[in-house]
Amino acid sequence: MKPFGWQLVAASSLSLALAHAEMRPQYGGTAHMLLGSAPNSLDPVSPQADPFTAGKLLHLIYDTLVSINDSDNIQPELAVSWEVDKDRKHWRFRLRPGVKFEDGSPLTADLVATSLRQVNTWSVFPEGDSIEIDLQQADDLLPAELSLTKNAIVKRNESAPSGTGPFRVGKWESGKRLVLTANEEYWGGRPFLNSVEIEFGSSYRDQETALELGRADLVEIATEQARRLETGARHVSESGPLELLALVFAHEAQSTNESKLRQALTLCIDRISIRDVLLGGQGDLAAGILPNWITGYEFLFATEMDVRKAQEARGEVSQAPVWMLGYNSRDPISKVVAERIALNARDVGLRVQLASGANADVQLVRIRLESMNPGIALKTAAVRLGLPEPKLEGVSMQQVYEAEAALLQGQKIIPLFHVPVVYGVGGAVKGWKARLDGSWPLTDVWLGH
Amino acid sequence: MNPPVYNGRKPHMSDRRFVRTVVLSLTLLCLLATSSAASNWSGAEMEFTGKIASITGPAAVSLIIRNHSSLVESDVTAIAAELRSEFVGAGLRLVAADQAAASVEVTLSENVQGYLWIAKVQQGANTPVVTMIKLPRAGPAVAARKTTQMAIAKIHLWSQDDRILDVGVIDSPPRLMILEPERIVLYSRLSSGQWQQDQEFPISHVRPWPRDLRGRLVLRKDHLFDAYLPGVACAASSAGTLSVDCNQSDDPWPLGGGAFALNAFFSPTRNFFTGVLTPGVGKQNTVTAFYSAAPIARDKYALWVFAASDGQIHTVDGIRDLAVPTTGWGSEVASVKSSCGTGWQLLATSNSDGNRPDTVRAYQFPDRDPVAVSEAVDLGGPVVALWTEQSGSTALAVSRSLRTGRYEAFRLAISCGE
Repeated sequence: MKPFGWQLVAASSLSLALAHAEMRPQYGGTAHMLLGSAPNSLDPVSPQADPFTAGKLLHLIYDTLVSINDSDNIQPELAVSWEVDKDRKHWRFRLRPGVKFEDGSPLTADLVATSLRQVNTWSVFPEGDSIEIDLQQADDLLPAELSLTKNAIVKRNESAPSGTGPFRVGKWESGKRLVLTANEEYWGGRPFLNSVEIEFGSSYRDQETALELGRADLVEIATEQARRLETGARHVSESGPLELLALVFAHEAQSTNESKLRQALTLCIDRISIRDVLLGGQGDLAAGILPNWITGYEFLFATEMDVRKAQEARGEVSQAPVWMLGYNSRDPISKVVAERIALNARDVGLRVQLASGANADVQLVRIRLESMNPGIALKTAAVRLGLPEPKLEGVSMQQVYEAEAALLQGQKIIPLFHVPVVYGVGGAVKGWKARLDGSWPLTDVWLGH
Repeated sequence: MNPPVYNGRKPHMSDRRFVRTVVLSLTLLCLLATSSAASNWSGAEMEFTGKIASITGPAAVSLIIRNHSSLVESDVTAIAAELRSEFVGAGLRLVAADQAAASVEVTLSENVQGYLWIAKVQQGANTPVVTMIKLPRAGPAVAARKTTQMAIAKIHLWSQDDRILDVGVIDSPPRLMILEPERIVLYSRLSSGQWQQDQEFPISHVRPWPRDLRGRLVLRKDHLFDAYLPGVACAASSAGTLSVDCNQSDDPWPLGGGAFALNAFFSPTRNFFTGVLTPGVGKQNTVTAFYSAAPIARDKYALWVFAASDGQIHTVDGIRDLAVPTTGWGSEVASVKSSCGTGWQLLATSNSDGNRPDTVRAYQFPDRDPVAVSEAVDLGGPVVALWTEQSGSTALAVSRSLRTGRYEAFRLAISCGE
């Protein structure tokens, strides 16, 4: 496994020919963005079909008490400081003064407590300029959990939810279009842009065309297309490889034979060819749920292809069932990857047939990690993958490793790849700093001359 | 008639002494950076070995060390040697794999937080035991620069995680003032060479700061300093116990002093000067909104160079306002007086959108158009502040390192070279 390239952290960008000298950030202008999926709702508590993209978008409108930076350090947002008592159950977060909601009302401890109670079972109560959270069990991951989108602080009016974020909702045509305008009163400083217009429901092809024609400033790029686009005069921005492609069985291995067959499947998949050919060379081979750049220990889980061992494992079981392999039929990459896995399986005597719908024995899934914090990333990924809740009592990497090793031991999941989330950035956009977590730094970008 | 001067140089420091001092400082800083990098792992090997020994007990072990991190080979070699030494100190006997009671595979790995050292301990047919420790990633080092006909000497002054808007330096006795968004911090230098925080003064402000916040510290003769931020002005007390008083203020910021006294109004909600000048350059009281400005002394007047917010560089001489052709200039300019060339050089940042390191290069204005007279000096990240110091012969630059994210303050001076 290659060391993580810090110089390539999250981003690859091509130099742009500049007609003007680039200056300090400039105020004004509207950035146009195209996205494939739309959020179901602009309320952070609503379940989302694409929680990753919705989360990035909602963070433009709402703030959380804290956030996580690219070094996995907790940063103050609406909370300026926090403390925990000795038993790690009683937390106190002091709120930032002078913050206002979109409707002009001030941020108060009452409103924050109400917002957090709505989505959590914690005991949350206001205390002066702070809120206090009492937990049933000690949990060092609480600050990282508070950085999740679902814990964004929302004031719910009769009309619409109101946030404190850098942008305000100017216009919302559900599922089609969203116009965000700069929050002049934003506690972190007004964004440079006057507004952001986001259109939803565009295919990758349409997005790429719009970027080429200058009709869009920011678009999503299909992972497998990233290398091709880098060779043109475009600016391609990548997150850290945080999207997991994996095979997930409907249940854990129930018998020794089942365990051996799954081991055979794990060993027979030609990950290198799939990545280099089908994924356009993007991403890393995955052996764990969490990528090595987040944990540093992923290499401890073996990932090498070994056809001979796979055949041996298969040979130890007389009768192998036919596995129905499900995939997202609307995702062309999932289809070709699933087909390739079925071929690899056949080479060692396993029978895998492609299937669509919910009747599959094993599903090819793609999920994007929602947090840079290893503990929270593992917890949220486990939920989305249908894995048992990891037993995490602390935040040390040793504990996260042991929890992840236990999840993998159940053989319900076979990790395949970690790939980056890729965006195309127009030449007029300045100050775009790709972040490892794939968030959109729209607060800090400006439009050049 | 003597040519106008920006501010008099300290009389006790000759040009040659000044250059020698700069070169010596750079050399010392390089040496310091080298020695600090070598001692980063102190204590970590012992802790790590202790964890491994608690698994194996005092036994004969084999040891393999792999590097999966961005550590350079020399660091890996040093760490490996120290680990082997610590193993022996912990009562472990290093032997060949076929004679070992336990095999230890150490991997020097890393993640977003920093380095992660992992040991996988295999004892017989037991399930391997994994233990690990994490370590912070190493800090930046100062790189030396090659000299050319005229060179910019870069002296690293200060580095910190928190945002720096501007710095002020008093050489004797050594004091450093750091202007941050919410406070002004004063440091003094101990005889050991270490900086010690003396005092800090909060900056009160009613409105949220604008994004791309800027500020300026100006050293004064009758009191220690004034500080300017968008919509806020702070002044240090002139007598008695030092205190700092900050008020909402739209007073203009000083751009130059002495013979080049010029002030300009700064937008309280943005990141640029509005273009309104006081008292003005000759007959010109307004110019295009700009990010920075600096004077170049002429025989009978001063040529002011403005980095305008429209992306152009303008020169203003009191009568004419001309856009001058420049290639790749950024938004920060500052002038310095030297004994080289025409005696006045303009330091200008390179263009950048914040994702590439800015550089600073020296230019002269033999006529109207600028001519580059030095190689570009890399400041490691976007330059967020560049101001001429009170002496007029040096400038202070603040950049945000793209590698570490830390704010770095530098003093820049012109060296005439060989």
